[in-house]
Amino acid sequence: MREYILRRTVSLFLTIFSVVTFNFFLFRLMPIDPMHLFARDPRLGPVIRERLIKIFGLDKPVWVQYVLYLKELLRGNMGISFYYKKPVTKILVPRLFNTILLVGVGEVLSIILGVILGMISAVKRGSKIDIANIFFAILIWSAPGFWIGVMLMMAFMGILPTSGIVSPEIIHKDLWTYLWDVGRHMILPTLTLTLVYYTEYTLIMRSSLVEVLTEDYILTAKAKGLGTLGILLRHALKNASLPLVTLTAVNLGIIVAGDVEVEIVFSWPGLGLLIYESVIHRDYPMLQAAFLLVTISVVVANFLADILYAVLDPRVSYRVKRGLEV
Amino acid sequence: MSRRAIYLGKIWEVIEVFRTSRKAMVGMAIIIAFAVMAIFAPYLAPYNPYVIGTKEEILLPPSREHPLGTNEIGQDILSELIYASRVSLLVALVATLIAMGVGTAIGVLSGYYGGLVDEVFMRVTDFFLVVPALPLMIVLATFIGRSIQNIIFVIGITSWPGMARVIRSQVLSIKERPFIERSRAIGCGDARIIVRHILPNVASLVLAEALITIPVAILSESTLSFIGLGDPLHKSWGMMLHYAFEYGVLAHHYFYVASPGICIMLLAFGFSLIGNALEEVFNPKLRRGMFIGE
Repeated sequence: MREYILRRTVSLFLTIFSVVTFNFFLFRLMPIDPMHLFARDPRLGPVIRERLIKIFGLDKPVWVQYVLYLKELLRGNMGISFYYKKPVTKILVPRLFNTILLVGVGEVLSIILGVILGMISAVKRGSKIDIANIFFAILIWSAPGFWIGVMLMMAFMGILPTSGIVSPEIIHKDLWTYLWDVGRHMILPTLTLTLVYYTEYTLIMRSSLVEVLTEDYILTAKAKGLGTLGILLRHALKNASLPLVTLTAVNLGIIVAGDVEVEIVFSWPGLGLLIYESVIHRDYPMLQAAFLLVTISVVVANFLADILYAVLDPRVSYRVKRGLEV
Repeated sequence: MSRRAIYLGKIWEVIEVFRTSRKAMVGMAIIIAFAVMAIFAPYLAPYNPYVIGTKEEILLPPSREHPLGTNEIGQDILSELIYASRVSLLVALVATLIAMGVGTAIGVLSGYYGGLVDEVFMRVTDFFLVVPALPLMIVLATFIGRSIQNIIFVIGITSWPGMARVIRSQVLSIKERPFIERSRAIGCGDARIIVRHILPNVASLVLAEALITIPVAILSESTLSFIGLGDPLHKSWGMMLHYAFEYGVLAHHYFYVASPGICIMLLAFGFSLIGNALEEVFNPKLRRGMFIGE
């Protein structure tokens, strides 16, 4: 087990390293001169331009720039935003908080909804309720998330706030009105995220629970006179929750990464919207940093899911011990 | 058995799935409807959706002349919808073909040769598997510019890793079967074994995987277009929603906003149903959750 975790950790760092490298070279390959974007004003003149190129190390060979990039990254310096003309991290961190708030709540709600619906479906498998539930889940899964958001926005226009995180006129009132206002702004985007994410949980919950419910020991429990709820709580759920737990762990990465489409539709000032804005502003350092952050959080979440899976499922640790799993 | 017969046998298995599964039949019906719409668009559409309308034709409500109304530059929305099915289908299908090619090649070579080839290919696969797709697509699309070819490339190049993994594990198990060893014993080379024995045996899995990639590609195209990274010269459902949102025509123009989304949803749904039905048959080992059980 320890060896497995060690090996996974090594591969985690290798992946992060390759992500960082990819991220560096991808943005070096871009067709536009970064200097042109940073100092847009033509009046700057060649002298200042020269000096800026020196300051940013753009006169050095690419591999020196790469080493510099790694060094500065380790010190938490992700560059200066072309658009805001401020350190990227200063802009990034508050955005990150907003994203975690929105997507975190959406994720929790969708897990609750998904698990409940999946359980109902599995227990009543083959019934009309089950078929309708699955049908609806696949249908919703097939709809683009941004469109669900836009439709909800149209339906609730004038009733609920449809954009931003807080109404501008309320910011200076007391804390409770402020929180109340943020909560109201969260309703529609959270509802959208719940609809977008719940389908996956429902279908996974249903399939793993159906599998467990057809095992012999469930029949035994039923023969002993245990009711449906008793079987679910005492025997089935624990065994069926494994795929759910790993899916949740994987999705932790998404909580940090944010949801680009939903954040754009509702102008939610999170990381996803930041990525979009950086594309529009051609703000490459910002885009680079946001992309790196998003990727690394997903990588780390995947790593956690792997470890969690190995810890929870004795079959995996058995296979690891026997050298069957790499 | 000739090579053709081997492949035909596999295709027959696929057809069998369609005959027995109601889900697959419904999915097929939806897809055929959209395919007809795309192919015969010039005959079905009442107007040319690329011609800009006069001032009086802007944002008309649904009427007899314009069943779904007109958009912010006076184009008939129904005609737009019909023409847009072309781009949406084309992008999704070609992008999936690219993903299929790359995924199959990497999966087969990785599984068959093992060793260093496997190690290198799987590192690359893991990288693409783990990098969140949409941000990656956005970053790539930003660099290479807005055109249909680029959208196809971006979606194709980010959609293959799941397929490569599944195919690799299938190849690993096929490789161990006795008939492979027998072919090697009678002097078959690697290329011949791959073409004659490995590929026919993964063909149906490749098809099933491709069919679950298509709805994802459809959704990716619509999202990229909605964000504003789509080809401005061609109409797709995502582009229609992009303009609707951009010009703020949300209030009261329900048909304008609802119809492209419904088209995207139905088309993706059709492919999901078929992929779902096929994967149940060909990939029982995989706990994909979504595509298992009935």
